Amino acid sequence: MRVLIADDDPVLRHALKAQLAAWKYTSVMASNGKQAWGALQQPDPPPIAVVDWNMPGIDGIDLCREIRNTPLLAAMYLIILTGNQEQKDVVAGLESGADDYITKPFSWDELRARLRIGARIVGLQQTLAARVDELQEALANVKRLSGLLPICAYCKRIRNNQDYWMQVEQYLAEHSEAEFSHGICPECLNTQLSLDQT
Amino acid sequence: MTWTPAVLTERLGGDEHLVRELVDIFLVEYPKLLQAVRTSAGQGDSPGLRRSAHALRGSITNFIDDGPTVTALALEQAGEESRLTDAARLVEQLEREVEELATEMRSFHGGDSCES
Repeated sequence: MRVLIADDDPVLRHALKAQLAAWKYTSVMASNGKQAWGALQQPDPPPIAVVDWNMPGIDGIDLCREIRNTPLLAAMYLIILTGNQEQKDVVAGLESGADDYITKPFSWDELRARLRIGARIVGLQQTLAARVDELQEALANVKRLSGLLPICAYCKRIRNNQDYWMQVEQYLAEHSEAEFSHGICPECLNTQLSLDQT
Repeated sequence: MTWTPAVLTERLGGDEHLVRELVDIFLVEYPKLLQAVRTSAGQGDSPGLRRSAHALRGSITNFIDDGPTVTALALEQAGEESRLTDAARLVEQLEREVEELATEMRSFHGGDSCES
């Protein structure tokens, strides 16, 4: 899974890149908020970001807000990694749209565990999105059978979009997942037998 | 204040080569960061002092939690509160502590093992 790293400290950037590679993540590096925002405008942006608060240009808080206000990026998992340690900072960071907040100095084991949480949530969101797509597709097929259908009052044929009058079972078979097996109901059986005897 | 490379190496999963790379980067970067602190304190630039001290503290924190980290935080807070009366003394102290750390790093980089 790819992770965006946005931090203006070259020492930490290098350490993060090396550690994330060891943990089987692929890093996309940015040394300031503007670069990070640029990386997120590319096709298929990383689903997780680790963002410093204090950066030149766009800071981490504004970056989180921008991401949350952008529909295509709104589902990203955002971790703020910062030296701002006061409680009011943590609240402001989370209110800007971050999912998690880690203060420096930090434990590498803790960062790894929190990234794993992010990856799990991103995985769940992707599974859910795929399921919603499947359901929407199924719903679209169901809708093909709704609406006003012109049906002959006598023979019960249905007129399709090409002005062709079709048997009911043929129409339903073409516009739904239904399949038909042919039989005869008791009432029709009696009627047919009576006709045969006359 | 004592920097213990072995502790950082352990935190980074035993990767001593990575620790040496991080030291290399810090030794190149810290003079610029320190100069920014010196300049903003000298000019009485409180927001600049807060930003530059924060940046230096962030970089030092990668290696050590006390000594210059604490002094940089004091300067950062002084900048935030526009309370610069003690800034010159704190900058001098920070310079001493950072240079001491850099000397330890150069010594480590000169070939000392993390285990020493």
